[in-house]
Amino acid sequence: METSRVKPGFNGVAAGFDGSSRRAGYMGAGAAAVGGGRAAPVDACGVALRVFVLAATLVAAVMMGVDRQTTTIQITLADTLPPLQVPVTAKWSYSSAFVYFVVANAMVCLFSAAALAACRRRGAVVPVMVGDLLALALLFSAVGAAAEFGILGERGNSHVRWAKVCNVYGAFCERAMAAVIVSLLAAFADLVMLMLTILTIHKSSSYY
Amino acid sequence: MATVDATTESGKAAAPHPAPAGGGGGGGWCSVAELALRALLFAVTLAALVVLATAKQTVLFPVPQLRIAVPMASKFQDSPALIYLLVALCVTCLYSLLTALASLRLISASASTAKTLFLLLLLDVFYAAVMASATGSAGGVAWIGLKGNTHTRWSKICDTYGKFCRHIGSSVILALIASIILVILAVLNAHSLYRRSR
Repeated sequence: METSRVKPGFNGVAAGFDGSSRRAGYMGAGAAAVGGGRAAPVDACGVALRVFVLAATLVAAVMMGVDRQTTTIQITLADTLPPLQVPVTAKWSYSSAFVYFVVANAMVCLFSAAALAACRRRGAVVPVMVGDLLALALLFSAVGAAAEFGILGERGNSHVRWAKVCNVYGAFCERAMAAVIVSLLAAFADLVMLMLTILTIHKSSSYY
Repeated sequence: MATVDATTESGKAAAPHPAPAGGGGGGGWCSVAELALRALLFAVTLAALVVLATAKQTVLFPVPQLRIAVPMASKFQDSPALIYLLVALCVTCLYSLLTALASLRLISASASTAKTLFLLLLLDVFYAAVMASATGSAGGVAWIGLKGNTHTRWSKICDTYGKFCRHIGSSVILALIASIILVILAVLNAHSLYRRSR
């Protein structure tokens, strides 16, 4: 803490070295790439979290996208007739919340790939941070919408007479909920990554 | 506290890079805009809270066989997503009030401390996430109420409960505006924190 008092005279590279060597316990070789003048110090923890966000949003989007189930339900028209076997299908595009979920996850996945490609550039710090913020809001709202739809499907709502549907489409519901949980983990990883970025900026701040 | 102030003063003297975006007087307009946005956030969340809490409608359903009309009430406590939205709006309203005071102190103090900015930025990001998830879930349930879902045979309810639906819809739109304001606040704070880095 005392060494950082004299930091205002230093430039960002030195501050990056100092901060990462102090946090070396959980960051590993954080300041390995501080060589070039234009290259930003690459944060190993941040890169790992970003790779995790990339993989998790991809998995969630694909898992929700391939999720479909066809079951047969029995309908009794009259007592004398045998019950009718009607095949019914559930898939993700039947629900607008799940469509939003898939689109948001795909967008965050693409953005994470772009940010991973641009993480060595010094000038990309601010756009990547703003994009991270937007991705965070998008991901959390998509998770909220999809989870709300899933809970409505699992429990129904007796006040407005919306019946539960997960007793018919059991496997569909389970896979959708798994996708939502994976996406929720990605959203929390995004939050942690953003907070680490803020912490890095704060530590290299001249007022710290 | 005295050492911190001394450090900030010397930091200001030793770091002579001017504001890149032409801000007159350091972060003057930035903090004024921040205070205005926080006041706006307080107003928006309070309005959304009031509109959501007063969303209640009783409709008489006629039953022809019995020659009576059954009153059916619809209120926001019927859906867990709307309760979550209410809680998130309450917490954000309180937060905006407290941080408006904090940013007022930032304006009045001559040396704005980076530590306060840092904490405000972290909290802004956190509350943006909370408000975004609440808006998403409440918007989802409001959308089903507005449009229905034929695949799961959930009928729309907004043709019956019109006033209730208008209240919920306005509240969700105000919550969306509040989360956009929180994101803008976080960007502003990050800008003024980043300006002092490197």
